[in-house]
Amino acid sequence: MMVHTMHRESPDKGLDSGKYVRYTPEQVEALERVYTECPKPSSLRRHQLIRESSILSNIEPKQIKVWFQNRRCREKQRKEAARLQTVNRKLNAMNKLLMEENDRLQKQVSHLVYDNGHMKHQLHTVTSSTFASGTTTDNSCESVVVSGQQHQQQNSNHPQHLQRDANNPAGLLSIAEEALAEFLSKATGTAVDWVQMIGMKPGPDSIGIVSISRNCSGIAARACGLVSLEPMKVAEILKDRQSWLRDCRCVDTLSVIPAGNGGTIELIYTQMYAPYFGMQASGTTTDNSCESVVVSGQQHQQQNSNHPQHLQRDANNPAGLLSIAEEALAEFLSKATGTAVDWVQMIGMKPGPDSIGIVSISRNCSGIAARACGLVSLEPMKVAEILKDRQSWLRDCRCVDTLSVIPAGNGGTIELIYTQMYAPTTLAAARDFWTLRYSTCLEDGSYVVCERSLTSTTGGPNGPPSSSFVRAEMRPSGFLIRPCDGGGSIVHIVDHVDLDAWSVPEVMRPLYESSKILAQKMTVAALRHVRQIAQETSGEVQYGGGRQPAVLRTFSQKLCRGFNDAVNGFVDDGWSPLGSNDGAEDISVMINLSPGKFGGPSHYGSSFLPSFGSGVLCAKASMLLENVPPAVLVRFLREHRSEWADYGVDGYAAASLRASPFAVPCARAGGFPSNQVILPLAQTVEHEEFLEVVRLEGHAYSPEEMGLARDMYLLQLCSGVDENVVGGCAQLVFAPIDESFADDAPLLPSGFRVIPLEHKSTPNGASGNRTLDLASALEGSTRQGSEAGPNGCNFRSVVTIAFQFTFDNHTRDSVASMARQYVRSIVGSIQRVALAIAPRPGSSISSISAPTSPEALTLVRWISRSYRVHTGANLFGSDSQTSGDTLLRQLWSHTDAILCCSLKTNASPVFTFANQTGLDMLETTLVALQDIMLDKTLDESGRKALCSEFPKIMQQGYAHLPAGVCASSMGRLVSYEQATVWKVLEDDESNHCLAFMFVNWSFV
Amino acid sequence: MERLNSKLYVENCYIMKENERLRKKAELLNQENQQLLVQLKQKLSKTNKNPNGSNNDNNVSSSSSASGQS
Repeated sequence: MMVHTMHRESPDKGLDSGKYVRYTPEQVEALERVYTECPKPSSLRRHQLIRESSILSNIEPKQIKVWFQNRRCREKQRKEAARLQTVNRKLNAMNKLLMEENDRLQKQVSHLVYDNGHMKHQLHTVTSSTFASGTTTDNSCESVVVSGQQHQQQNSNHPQHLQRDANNPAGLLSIAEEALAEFLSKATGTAVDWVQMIGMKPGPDSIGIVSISRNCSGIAARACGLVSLEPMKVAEILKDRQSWLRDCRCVDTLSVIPAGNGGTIELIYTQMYAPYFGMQASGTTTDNSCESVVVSGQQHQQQNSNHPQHLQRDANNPAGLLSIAEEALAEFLSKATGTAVDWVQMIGMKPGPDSIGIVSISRNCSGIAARACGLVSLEPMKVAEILKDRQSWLRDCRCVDTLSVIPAGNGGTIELIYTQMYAPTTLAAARDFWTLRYSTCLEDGSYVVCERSLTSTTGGPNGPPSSSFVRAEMRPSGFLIRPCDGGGSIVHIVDHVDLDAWSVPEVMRPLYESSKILAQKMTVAALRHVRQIAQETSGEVQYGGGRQPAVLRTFSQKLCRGFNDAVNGFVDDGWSPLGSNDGAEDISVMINLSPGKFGGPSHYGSSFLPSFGSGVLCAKASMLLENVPPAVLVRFLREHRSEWADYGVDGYAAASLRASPFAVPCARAGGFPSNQVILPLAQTVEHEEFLEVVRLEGHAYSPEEMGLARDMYLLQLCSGVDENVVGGCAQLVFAPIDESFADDAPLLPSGFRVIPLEHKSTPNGASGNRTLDLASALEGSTRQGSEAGPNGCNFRSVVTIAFQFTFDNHTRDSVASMARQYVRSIVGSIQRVALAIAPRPGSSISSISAPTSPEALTLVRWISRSYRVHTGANLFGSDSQTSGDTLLRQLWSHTDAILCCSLKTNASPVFTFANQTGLDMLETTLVALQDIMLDKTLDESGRKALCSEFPKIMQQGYAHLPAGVCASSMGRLVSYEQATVWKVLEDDESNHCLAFMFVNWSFV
Repeated sequence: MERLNSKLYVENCYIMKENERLRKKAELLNQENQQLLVQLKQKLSKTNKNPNGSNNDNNVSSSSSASGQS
């Protein structure tokens, strides 16, 4: 809303009152200068402005104020317009994409319809030949004839036709070509809305498939059938229209012109008899009705990739490589925009401007494939540059070495590339690729980079040998970048790999056979990264901590990389295994005495480890979990650090940064709960990854260590915690960091990675026990449990845990045993957590046993007795005179959530106990429950209701709260129909705690 | 502009729905075609089993070309 200013008293400037103030350009410039510094100056500042600036001295303060108001308003409008324009551009591009997809689908459908009809017909023919054996000899020379007959669309008034000089042969050829295209799209496609003609015989002696037009301009019919004649013979017969068309009076070929490409163009005058008397006969010149006959033998042979031609190719000479490259390009393009792979759409795509694009995954193809197509507001060459730098966006990429670069002659470039990829878990070897990458421009101005493995079948030089890697194959993959109207690019990305799943243990195989995981980890990651950079470049992203996005990304990369290095423990990084003293091999420990080589042979790993003592030690383990959603598990581990972490160990890890001596603690998970505060640093555009700082509040755990009781900081990267993402793996990686948070701070990451293993089809996994014995699973799954999760939630995930510590020569053994113990205790904690958060199969099975301590029995007795005393009703229906175990079981399995919380005057109430339903509602465990505060669970109106009812609860002993909403410990909203609150009294009638019963709750 | 955008949005939604429908249709057709192909192969192998002397070569060639249709 513009504020219109009235100029009242400036007669000296010749302006009447009621007119706008006119500012001179100098004045505007001065005001603009101020505006850029401060868009909303105070009245003091405005007055000062008038005093100090001679140009503005004749303007009233009020007008200055109005000018700024208007200026802000204009700015707002401009911003809004710009935003709308951006949205519009995105929507338009999206629209274009969708239309293209629509086009492709339509073609696909019509092709399928054609195939379908053809096969149906062939089936009939074969059937007939089975019975009439004499006709089988003719099979070899049968042809399929598709003819568009008598389509009399009268569009001779088309302006384009009039302008074309049809007297010169080139003009005629162009008419002919156009007619051909139109005809073909009618013959095999859906250019006309075809319906099958009724009354056709389905039997073996059917003439063929006849369709007629519906609602098209003009009338049309088509037929498709098999005849036992040579194609040229068929053409000859059909061309002689008079021989078969009884209504045809004459056909005069007025001129014959060779078309140059081997075809022939004829100009024909045809006269037709009127079907009955009184109707005028018509003469048509057929220049615009599509008259052509296509005779196709069955040439839909699929290209066989093992074509002998490959073997003959001398791939060591550049021409040989170019031919491999060109072939890879063609195959890549047919996957990127075509159907060379059986694509299915992956996720519920958003139609709006924020959509990442269209993501598809392969189904039943050899290897696994994924593709994505999206828009980014960067120039094509910039996009290519980003995507080519695979290490910057592919977290699992250890290194990429370009071994040779060969100009392709046509302006393109061929590179031979050796790539190493980290193994995601400790359970399988890492993969590497030996590929040819071809980058070139296409005729339509788009840029394409495609890549494929060089193998014995493709030919080409052999790649470098690798001992600790399994050679995986990259089928033609790559990216196609098309410039987009109004700036930006449309990017198509295809990844198609064969990860040699047979070489990994059977239990892990789904991970190597999942196109969903490929899509998430590579294809979508690439697109996300480009979009992220695009948004950062355009300044749409707000970052915290005053850091450049690039710096924060480097932090994330270093964390990921360090964790991957720890999990993989490559010999060439300096890792060697350390045998265990206690004989158990559930946890493997590796040491690295040359941490200078840390970070791998890449420019991302810096030589940052001078401060890390004499070596680094890593303890790691992998375990299988059943029915535990990775996202939920990682979220829990993040939010409830005290459930698994040990303050002492955290302290040791933090102290190693300070080079001050610190006794090696003995590991006890959850021994010393420490408060953690999470400070967000950055998150990616789609919130799938967070970088944050965790502050662990310091407290000494023995008097002599008081001096060390200070806050510790962890730099933490949390990803994949969105449950809605299909096939994503979730990860929590953190490293101690000192208070300086220097950009080049040394990081020694530890953490967890949870990868879902897609369930193939067999629903006969055990569902009772949620943590599986990994050893037995690796031996080939001999469990006989046959009861699948009743709600179909029977899936596994593999958790990989790795913790790194520094050590000095003399502390090596004690650090090793501490680390081993610590990781073992974390495995135990995760098993507990997994048990608590796995969706319960049916309500009748009590999967966690109720606590049976005498304290619990007493508490339950108090809870139910108090309820009866206050309300006069029984908590468990009529027969609640029972006591002890029965009472406990009844309360434990009560269908409403019953929770107790502390009743202290000096502290905010925290939960002390909950029954199973209560734990379900809060999504927590009995241990973690005690960190949850009532204030955080109830929402604003719930808190108000409780406050207003509080005196009543104290006096009468109980109160009902109205229906409302509360939040679980995971932040999920829970609605309930009613909440009953009562005072729980001890035997001596003193107040013990408050009990809550949430009736009929459900997750929103 | 606002109106144009929402129009585009609705249109996109509509095309997406349409694409979904086409995709389903394609899927169904594909399934049907697969079945037809299997039937065709069966029929052809039956024909081949028919003791019919010199016709064998022709049948083999026709069966291989039929499988190329998929």
